Amino acid sequence: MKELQKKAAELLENGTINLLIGFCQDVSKRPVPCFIETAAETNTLVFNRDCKNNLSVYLHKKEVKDAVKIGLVANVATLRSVLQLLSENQLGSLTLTYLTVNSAGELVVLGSAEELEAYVQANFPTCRPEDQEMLDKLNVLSREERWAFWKDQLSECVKCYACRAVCPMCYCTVCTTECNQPQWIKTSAETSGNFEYHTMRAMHLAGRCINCGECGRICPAGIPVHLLTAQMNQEIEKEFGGKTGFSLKGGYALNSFKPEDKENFIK
Amino acid sequence: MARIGVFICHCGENISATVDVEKVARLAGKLSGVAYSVDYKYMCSDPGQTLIVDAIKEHKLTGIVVGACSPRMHEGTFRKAAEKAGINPYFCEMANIREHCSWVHPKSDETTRKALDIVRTMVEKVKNDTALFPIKVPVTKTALVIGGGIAGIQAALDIANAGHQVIMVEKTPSIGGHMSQLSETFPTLDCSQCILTPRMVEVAQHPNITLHTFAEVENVSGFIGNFDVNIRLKAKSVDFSKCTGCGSCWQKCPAKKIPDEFNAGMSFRTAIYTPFPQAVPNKPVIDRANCTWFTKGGKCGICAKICPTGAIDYTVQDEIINVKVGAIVTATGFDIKHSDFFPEYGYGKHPDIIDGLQFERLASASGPTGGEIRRPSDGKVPETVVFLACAGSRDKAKGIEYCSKICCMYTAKHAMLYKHKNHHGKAHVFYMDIRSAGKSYDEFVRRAIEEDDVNYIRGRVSRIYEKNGKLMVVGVDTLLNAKPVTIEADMVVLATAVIANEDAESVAQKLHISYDKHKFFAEAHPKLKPVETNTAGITLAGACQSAKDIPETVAQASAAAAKTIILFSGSEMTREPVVATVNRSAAPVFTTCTGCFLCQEVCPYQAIEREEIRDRAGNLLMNAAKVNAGLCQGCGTCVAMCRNKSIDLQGFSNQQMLSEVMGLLNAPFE
Amino acid sequence: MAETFEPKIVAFVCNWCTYAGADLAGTSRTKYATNVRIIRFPCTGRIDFMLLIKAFQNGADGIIVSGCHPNDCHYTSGNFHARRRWMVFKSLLDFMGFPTDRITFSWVSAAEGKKWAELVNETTDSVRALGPFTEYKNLDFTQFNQIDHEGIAEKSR
Repeated sequence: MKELQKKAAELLENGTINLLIGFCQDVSKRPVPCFIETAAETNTLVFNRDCKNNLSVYLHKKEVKDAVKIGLVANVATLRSVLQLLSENQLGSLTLTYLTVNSAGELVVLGSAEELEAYVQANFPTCRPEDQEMLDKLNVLSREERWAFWKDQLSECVKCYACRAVCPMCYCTVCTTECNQPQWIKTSAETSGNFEYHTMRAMHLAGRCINCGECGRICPAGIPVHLLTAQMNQEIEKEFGGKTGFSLKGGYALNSFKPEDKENFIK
Repeated sequence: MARIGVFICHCGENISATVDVEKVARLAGKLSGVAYSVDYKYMCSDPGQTLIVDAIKEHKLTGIVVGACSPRMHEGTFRKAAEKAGINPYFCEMANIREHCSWVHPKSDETTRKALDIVRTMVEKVKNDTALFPIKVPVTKTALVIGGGIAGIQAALDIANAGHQVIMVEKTPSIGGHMSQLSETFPTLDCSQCILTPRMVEVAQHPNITLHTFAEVENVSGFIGNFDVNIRLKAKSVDFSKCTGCGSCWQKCPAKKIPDEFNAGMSFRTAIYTPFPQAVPNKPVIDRANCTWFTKGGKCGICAKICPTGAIDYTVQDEIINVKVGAIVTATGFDIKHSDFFPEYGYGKHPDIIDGLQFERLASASGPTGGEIRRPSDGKVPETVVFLACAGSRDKAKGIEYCSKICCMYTAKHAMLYKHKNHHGKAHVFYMDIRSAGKSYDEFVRRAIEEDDVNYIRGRVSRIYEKNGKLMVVGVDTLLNAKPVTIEADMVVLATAVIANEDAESVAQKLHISYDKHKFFAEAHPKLKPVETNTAGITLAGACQSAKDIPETVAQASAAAAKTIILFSGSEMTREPVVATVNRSAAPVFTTCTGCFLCQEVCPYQAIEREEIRDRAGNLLMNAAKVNAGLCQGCGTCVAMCRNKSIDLQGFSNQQMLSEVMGLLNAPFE
Repeated sequence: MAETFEPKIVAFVCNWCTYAGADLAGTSRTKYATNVRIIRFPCTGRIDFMLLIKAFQNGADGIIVSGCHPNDCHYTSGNFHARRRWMVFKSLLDFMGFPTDRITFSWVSAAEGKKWAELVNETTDSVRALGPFTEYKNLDFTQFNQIDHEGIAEKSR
């Protein structure tokens, strides 16, 4: 912790960064995202296992973009998000420095996109065991049972779009949900409209989501929406190879193809 | 507020026989947005079109739906009518109630209901149509002709004589194709080479034609008027600028045992060779796969030593050149089936059982036997020759259900040639039918039967086997009550099937043209567009499309040339405006595009560019996608790829497609 | 007298191959089931997966999606992109328990009029056997407080 605070202060003082995005403790001792511009404030920084938010979502904000030189306190999931965003041409105007803690508890500072890529590839995480367990359980159910499960879950959705707000990959300035010519997604919270929304979201994230799990964690209705994209990513990796948030070059499964792609259901 | 006109065609009885057209017109008139609805017997006729034009003017219609045949038939016709009436032609859509409804379903309420559904779907689409204006694109007035046979030669000469540049690519070392292998041609029995070689020379000497032999098309990109083609000039190993065609090299070449393709494998050639004496260009190339210098690491080299001008160059590599053309004529020709298709006929087992091309070479004065019909096995003149027609065609069980068209005629010709050269010989033809439908064709066959004493037996052959040095041909005479017939022959000629070239599929894929299950290239419409393909700017000529004889090939080649000349006749070409666009709006939004450029990566035509959007001070605000309307072909893959729907396809926009689906499924009344 | 259920089948097809194949079925007067309605797209690459959902929502019981065979796309690669999109979409629908046997994907070329007719007949028969897609139409009448199988949602927070 102390090392992190010291390093953050140093980077702010020597002008490497103008703005640090990290975690501070709020009054209830819970870590929340914070935006630090002066070295003096860095003594409030914390970084522990409770720091779950994916801070890369703030990189799209105008105020952050205006600051240009950004420091980001990140866990591996967040670093993967940044790598994925870089491969999608989204962070071109920013100069980013990353502060993370490795598995041995040491502070690691990454100063460039190449260093970021190397670190991520060396420390690439597997699917979270709790997610894998749930996916395995769902995948052995019959089709009707799965349908009943998701119907129940999606009937509880109130279209608050918190899942969209917290996702760093949802950076479209005007989302399809806001499109009304034509109206693709029903805005009211009825199950059929919820089904539309979550299907669309899962398809748009398939092959891009880095499985931070934030969307499922913050859903106020308790719907495990992160399982949809986790399943999609596993399918895509199995079928087409390639991992999300793995390299600067990207390699999005859905906008490339191989003539030899094989499937067994097209007549 | 939309005022749509609905026009339901009876199409004589084609639609009205199974669909209640009056009811459809009546109910369509009640749809929201429809101001006028009527039915008529023949919409595409002059009075029918006048009806539409008058209705548009009288009822102030803003768009029309014509419920009739497929848009692939008459969309153009009705769009012109709409334009004549003063509305943008893209406010006209066709509801396909003939090919997709009246012709495939019986007369019933269900069929009528389906027709109404289809009309309603298109009414919803038209309500969301936007005015589109044709895009003008410059045309490169150079044509590419692929294939140097008689089809390619004719097309090239026609286009070149019209004053345009032509690039001809031929994969073998000489132009001429299969016609140069023929001895005499039906129905006149003129010498094939004599009528062909003047044309070949004309091509070589024509100022507007650039000829590349021993070359193949590597890849094609672009679109009509603006094709970008890479051609692989295979390494000839001979510098044509130095070579005089003296022939010293192939006379001294020690690699003499290579089966000669030109003589259909019945003689040998050398590794450095010209395919035949009248080859154009008449300069040799080295077949590197069979040349000692190349296969045995630099041994030999005799030709280089002997060549008086030092034209041999073993080091030269294949060269890829890039050309820009406006139109492509595909004249890649055909092959005949060589494999032992009918094991019971023994083809491939006995050297005296040969196919049609091999017989042509025997009969040809420049062939391996100097024009004398001799048995390949022992060189003796055969006393009895049996010709089998339909040896492979018209046989569904063997996978070739089509008729190869030319065999009846060339079989009669072969029999006649044999008899002319051997007055005392006996010629028998086993046939199923005689297809001699061309001009002077039937007279030709009668001549074979009546004047040249060729014995025609109507029946098929079940087996050919050898016995005591003779080929026993076992068949049946169906006109004599299925009497079994066995003929002891000295030679048998099989009229095998005409098939597509081995590389036809890969050529079609390079050009993005369609082909059928037999790998013959697909014409755009079997009756009305026999030379065009579905890929605009690419035409077909000759047997690559389907088996045909020389007069038809020449006619089709001239037709393909005419289509090309039409394309080149204006200074620019008007393109259909069904293209994609990325939205733009005023500051500070500028566009909803987020600059992820997934669209750019999937576009097959590289039609999407990156635009830098800057503020007034010149600071870069964002990179957004932009479509080059001249290159976009309107496939819409980018539209389905865009997550936030910033790019849309005019003519098939998101609003239109969704309203079609909604309109179809939400019927206001049953 | 009970009416036998006749499924509504919507077909999303590409203009150059399957639409032309259906035209060929028409010119050849090949007869097939009346249940299908065709919607024309320039290319299968253009078909947005949301349209399939919208079609089911608005009353379709079955859907056919069809285009040019791989390597034969009029626009070169549209059908390759479509193929990948369908592979991913189908696996998402399967995961959500959506009955993907109501969707038929196929490649029908402009020369395959007969195949088109057979495809329509087969799809109509199989969707008729599956019955009307009421479970989708009744989606908005779901009761709340259903039992969460295996407590998956609870544990995933």
